[in-house]
Amino acid sequence: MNGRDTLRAAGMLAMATLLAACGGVSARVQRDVPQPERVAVLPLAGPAPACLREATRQLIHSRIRTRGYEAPETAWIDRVLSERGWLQDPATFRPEGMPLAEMAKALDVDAVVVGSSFDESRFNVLVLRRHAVSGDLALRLADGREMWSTSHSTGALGGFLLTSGQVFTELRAQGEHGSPMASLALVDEFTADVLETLPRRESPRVDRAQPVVRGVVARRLPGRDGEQRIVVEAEASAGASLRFQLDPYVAGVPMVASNGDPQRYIGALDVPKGLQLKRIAVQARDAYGREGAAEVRP
Amino acid sequence: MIAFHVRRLALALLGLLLGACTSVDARHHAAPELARLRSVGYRIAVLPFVVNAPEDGFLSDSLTPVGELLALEAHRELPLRERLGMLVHDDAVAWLQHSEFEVLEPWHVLTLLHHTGNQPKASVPRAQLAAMARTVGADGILVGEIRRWNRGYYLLQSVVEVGIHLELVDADTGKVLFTGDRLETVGSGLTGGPTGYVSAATEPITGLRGSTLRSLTRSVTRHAIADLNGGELGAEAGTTSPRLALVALAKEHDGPFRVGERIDVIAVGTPDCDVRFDLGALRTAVPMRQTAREDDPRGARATYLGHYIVQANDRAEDLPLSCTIQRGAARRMVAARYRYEGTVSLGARAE
Repeated sequence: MNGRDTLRAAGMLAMATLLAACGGVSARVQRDVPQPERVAVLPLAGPAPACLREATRQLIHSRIRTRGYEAPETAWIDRVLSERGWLQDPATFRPEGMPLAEMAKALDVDAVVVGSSFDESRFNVLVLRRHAVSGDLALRLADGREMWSTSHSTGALGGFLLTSGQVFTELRAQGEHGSPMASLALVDEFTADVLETLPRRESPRVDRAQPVVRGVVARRLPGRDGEQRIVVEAEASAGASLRFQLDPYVAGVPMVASNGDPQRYIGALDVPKGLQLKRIAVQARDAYGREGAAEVRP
Repeated sequence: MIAFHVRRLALALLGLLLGACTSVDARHHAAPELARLRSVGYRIAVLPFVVNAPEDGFLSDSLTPVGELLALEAHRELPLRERLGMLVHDDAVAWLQHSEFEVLEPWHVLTLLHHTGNQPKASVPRAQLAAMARTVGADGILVGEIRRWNRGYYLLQSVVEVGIHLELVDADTGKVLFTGDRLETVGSGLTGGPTGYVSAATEPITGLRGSTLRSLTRSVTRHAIADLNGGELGAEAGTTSPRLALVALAKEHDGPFRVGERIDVIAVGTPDCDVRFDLGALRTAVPMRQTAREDDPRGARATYLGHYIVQANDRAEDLPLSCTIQRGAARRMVAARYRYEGTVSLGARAE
């Protein structure tokens, strides 16, 4: 082996090492854009089944919190977007053309995660199979700047053609190919891969107080035949999600912030006349899942 | 000639490596009556799996990479070993829903056992297991043990192994109807077949990913349940999952609903479940009540009714209406979602 061959071998080894180190997700990070503190993960768009997109979104939400960001709950986000007319059907949400700055303000966040082109593809002809999940993600600040973006695909490629020496592995994979659990596993891998490229936020988290519910009152109004309407009102922090419970009849009836006072909530339900209730309880849940409750005797 | 012997020796070594690093060791024994019991509808309750994998080499950090799957699957409050036990328990329940057995809702099983002071623990005598099965209304109880949960990394080779043990105890007789042991080992890297420079370096690391271990765990559980089922599992979950046959507006309504008006929703499906409806994402999980139940030879079904009274701030157009049904209201339960064909508009202010 002469010097040139040695040099070529060293070069190939270095390239192999580089390839090994760099293989995976490509992401673009704008270091000059300030890191947000609070981030809302919007519904993901794309041709993938709605349930798969929602599972992906939940995992992104969960993982983004482990990266040091505060992230409001997705159900809370969807309610706020719906109340403002930006979200009719979560299954068909399209982020294109949406007023992201206004959305961020309404959600009280510094940035939003926008996901598009989410797709799931699969085929299996025994000798060759592939099951993949792909999509684009971007973290956009309220002022429109993009701090982070990525486009990624996670797939399971196999088949007896490709897995020489790994028959057991392939037999196992054939059994699982395309199943909902395999989809979930791919989604988990996808989110783990892409969120690993999002710069970690080191600032300490802000401890917020749990929502306080007070001033619970219940009124009985005449209802339809054989019924009466129970109207429940309560005060809580603006923006919270409130529900009331008529124990032991029913639990979880949604309440709505009133027009003039965003801290005043109201909800109603028709119940059979003469219904005996033990208590009327109101539970508030804020954007970050903290809960508070109060109750009155009927 | 020497080269020939060296080649044969290398091949033999490779064969040994393959055998050692990618293998399945499965043994099971089923009582003769199990097939008949299965065919007439045998109800199984599953207890949380006990984790008896040896401490030496136990993957104390292996749940971290799959932490987010566990976030979906809950049990975050449990210690590591118990969490793993619940994870495999949940897998077993999910795969049993694809089998010929009827699997009881785990929430129902665990709640009943808790209420009756029958806390599942590491070692339960067979007679007590049978009693537990009777308590929860099952024909048999499935107990499982995780005996291996390991991985190792040897530069050019990584090995992941998961081993579980299953026992099905009959409620009436206390007899063990099925025992099964399954140990699956997957090697990545050197034993994965011919590899290039890059994959030689990356495959062992790839093999160590949490997803590899999670995938193997799922697979081992699936095959163990298939052994119990006496054959392959079905592609769809069985009829034990709660279902709705009908979701609709209970009353016709022209135009948008106005303040104070009721949106009445009706659903028909599996009895004794928690059923709720969503108006898009605007008002979600509105409770419904079971108002009637009908038992007939095709199976019981129930009617659920619920309503939402439109409030002053409600304004939305063309919201989809959907219902979810689940057994028990616990967050852990998987809810099935059904969608109404039409949409609902809320006109807000009264004229």
